[in-house]
Amino acid sequence: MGQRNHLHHIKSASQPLIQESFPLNEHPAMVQISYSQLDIHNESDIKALQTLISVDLSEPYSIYVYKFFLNQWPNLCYIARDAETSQVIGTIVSKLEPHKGTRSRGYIGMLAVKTAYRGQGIAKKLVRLSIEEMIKSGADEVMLETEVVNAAAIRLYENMGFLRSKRLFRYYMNQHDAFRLILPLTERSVVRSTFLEPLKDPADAGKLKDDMDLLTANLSTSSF
Amino acid sequence: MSTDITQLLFAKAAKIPIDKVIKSPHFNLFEGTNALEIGNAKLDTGSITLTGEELHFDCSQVRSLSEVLWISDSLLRSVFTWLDNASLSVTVLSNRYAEELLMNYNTGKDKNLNSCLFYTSESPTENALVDKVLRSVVLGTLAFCNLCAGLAHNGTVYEEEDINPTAMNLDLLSLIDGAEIAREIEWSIEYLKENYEYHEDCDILVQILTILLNFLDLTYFFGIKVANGDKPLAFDIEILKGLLKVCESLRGQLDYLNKLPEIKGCYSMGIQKRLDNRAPIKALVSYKQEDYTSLVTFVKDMISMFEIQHRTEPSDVINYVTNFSNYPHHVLSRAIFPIFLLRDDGSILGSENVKEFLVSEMVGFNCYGSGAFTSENIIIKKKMDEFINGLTMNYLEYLQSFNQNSCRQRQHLLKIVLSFDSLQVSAESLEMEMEQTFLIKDNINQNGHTVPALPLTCWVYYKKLSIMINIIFKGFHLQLYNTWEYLSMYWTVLNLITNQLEILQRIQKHILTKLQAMKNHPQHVTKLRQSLGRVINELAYYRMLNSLTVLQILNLRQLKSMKIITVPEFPFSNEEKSFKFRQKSFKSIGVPPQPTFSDFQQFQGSKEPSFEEFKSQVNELKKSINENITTLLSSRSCNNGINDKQCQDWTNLFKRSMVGICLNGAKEGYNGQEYKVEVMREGFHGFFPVLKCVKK
Ligand SMILES: CC(C)(COP(=O)(O)OP(=O)(O)OC[C@H]1O[C@@H](n2cnc3c(N)ncnc32)[C@H](O)[C@@H]1OP(=O)(O)O)[C@@H](O)C(=O)NCCC(=O)NCCS
Repeated sequence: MGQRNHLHHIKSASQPLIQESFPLNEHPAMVQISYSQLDIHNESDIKALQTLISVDLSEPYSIYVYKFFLNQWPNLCYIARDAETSQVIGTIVSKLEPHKGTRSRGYIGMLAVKTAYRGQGIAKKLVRLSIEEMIKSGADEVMLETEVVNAAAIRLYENMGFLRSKRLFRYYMNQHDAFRLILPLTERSVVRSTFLEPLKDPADAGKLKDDMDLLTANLSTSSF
Repeated sequence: MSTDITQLLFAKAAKIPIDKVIKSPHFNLFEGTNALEIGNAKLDTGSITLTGEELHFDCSQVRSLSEVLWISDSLLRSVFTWLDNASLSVTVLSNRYAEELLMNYNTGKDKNLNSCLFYTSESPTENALVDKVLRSVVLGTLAFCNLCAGLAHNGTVYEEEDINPTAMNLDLLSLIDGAEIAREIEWSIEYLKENYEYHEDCDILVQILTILLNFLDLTYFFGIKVANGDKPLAFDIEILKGLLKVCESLRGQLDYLNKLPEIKGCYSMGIQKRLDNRAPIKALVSYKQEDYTSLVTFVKDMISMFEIQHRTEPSDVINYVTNFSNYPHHVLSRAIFPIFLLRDDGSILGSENVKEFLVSEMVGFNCYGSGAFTSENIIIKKKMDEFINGLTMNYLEYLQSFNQNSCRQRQHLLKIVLSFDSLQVSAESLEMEMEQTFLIKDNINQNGHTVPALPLTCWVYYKKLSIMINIIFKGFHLQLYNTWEYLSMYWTVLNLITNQLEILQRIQKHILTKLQAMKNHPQHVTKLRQSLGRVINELAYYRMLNSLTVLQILNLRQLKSMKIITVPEFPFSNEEKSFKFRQKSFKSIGVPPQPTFSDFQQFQGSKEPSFEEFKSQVNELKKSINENITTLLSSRSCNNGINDKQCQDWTNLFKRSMVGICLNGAKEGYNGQEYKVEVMREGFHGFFPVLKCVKK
């Protein structure tokens, strides 16, 4: 977890801010956004991230779902902040694990950008950061699910090279079908798992540490 | 023996620091992701607040006929909202009468009809409308729910995504005999007719009761035997048609039913609080989401399922099954279809067993008179038996894919294709062995050479290719491909179709050779002519697919060269990786060899036809498509009395796609700066969505 607090400051190419959809109209035309990996000890960031996601995603997540992702793969969770107010305005939560023991598969679990900040490339940046980190950890592919009606998310991911590998019948609680999207990264991703050699070292698959160690470590320091 | 752990729990819990999560070594974090969370407003059902009407709802209250009608109508509709991907807790079981009756039944000493009550205290007044009539509606409804939940447990459809049978640990009257419930319903019908004959609500309520009564007999229909060439099942179908009339008439009353005043508190989220519930808080799903259309659809599905009574050939069953998979159906029909088709005793439709059926299907297609099936040699018989047993298992799986929801169908086929691939290898070595060791010769003349006809191998190969072709086309139907991938996907499927046409032509030649050899044996000639007819229809189908695919490809090449469709630049991937990812499903398949990305690039780089050439090619293709569609429309599959209209509609959709592609495709002078494409699906065949050029 040495790369924590590795900040990415970029200037987002701002689009004209329309008053209705961007209550940020009092801000200067260029909004400074800073990006950082999650600090698992920063409770207020974690709370902010949870709030952001629970407002924007249709599925309800318990604290255990967040724990599952954040404690095991904090390096794959990024936060976008309004640099001026330091407020968390976007986040991506992901994991990286062996799939059927043969492929290292990244998974984007949650992605959300606060409504007022949308359309400025923030999600795109978050996704890139997370995927770059997965690639560093040896990912063969990246997967996620999104509702068939979520045009924004589908376009975002497809423009990054994700392909629709499956349609999932009535996958979401709100009755919609979903697409499973996959971004193939290595040769392993383009061979059916039945015909792949098992991964040599599951640690290659990007898990940082044993679940248990991490959790105990965190329990003693964080009250999340 | 139960132990009270309250004190222990409190004592232990007092030691846990507030705001901390403690992980037990007995489970991993992933299991935890399914856990609910106390205090979480979206997950903790304890935090549901109920209105006064809900809290004080009284099931013993006397109700008017209109009120009883409202409750009955909303309850029956709730069953269908449940079956439309909701859970019982927010539909049927959120009805207070259903909950109370089930609670009393489940906690009753000996779960029987006597414990099925809305309330256990003495009734304050004479209350027949509630205690008898409404009770019988609730009984009938719950018995129907029990049947549906049983179908979900049965595994013919997917629990959760197709039918969610979770009933909060309540038994849905499974221990009560349907005949007892039927008597209650019949009593109510009589009672209503006697006492409320002139009340306008009486008829509607009787209709609801009649439907529930019929549903109690539903399982009888799953078990009806439909043998080849049997007498039509006129009597049974009349019953279903009668039921359909009642359902349609009920649907006709919808406006009136929707105007009946709601009874506040009758539907409540309270059951989520009160009973065993492992789900997050879920809002109620209004019964008004069902307008009895799915009820009507379901009964129509049942009637059309029985058209199989007209079957006389194995191909009729194959067409029937394919036709079923081509259309969306009510989830109950999808759950029932395989039970009706493939019986517990291993038979098809209660008649021949699957293995016999498979053999007759192969013999009826291209294996008539083959030594593999006719040889008396014991070793061959044994080897054939082993092979056919293996094939039967996979064939059964194949037949079981047709009732799945459209998303799952494709996944099932992806699995099955690998088995068919290895079966093809076994078939070929078996046939070579028969030829070389046992001198069973079955030859055809191929380009002046005599070569083994390999009918078994051909049959398996033909099936495998049809599965592969379907997998790719179903991808279009499910909207899996981006428009920039259309060209490579149609190009890939064209390669498969070309191979399929070759194999079918080889089969045709084989049959013609046999016909020539047996021309003096009329009984053989009849059989072989039948086979030939089937092969000719298959050829027409694949020729039509071939021409439409080429048409689509020609158009796509124009769109690409005009830069109306372009492959985007990707940060982490590229066209080649994407291409390989798409080919992955078939990567291990030996024949036909899978094209590589450089093959595709070579094709893309090949000279494009000029616009004039393009137009004349399009005209040729249209002619071929129309001719083949005409053949298909006059073929047996569209005219055997089994779902003919659906088969014709399906075939005609190909024609609509052809017209759509020609009208909306690339036109001379278009370019990518001005135009983009939109995908049009409505009214066109799912395999051939139409790309429409529209101004940017
Ligand atoms: C999806 C979401 C994260 C996008 O956030 P964002 O910061 O506005 O996205 P970006 O500005 O980075 O846009 C990236 C790309 O997404 C696509 N996109 C974004 N908004 C879009 C919209 N409203 N319609 C169509 N495409 C859209 C575009 O392709 C865009 O790239 P382009 O502008 O170069 O064409 C945001 O809308 C959101 O939080 N939605 C609710 C939560 C959600 O749906 N999460 C995804 C679940 S997997």
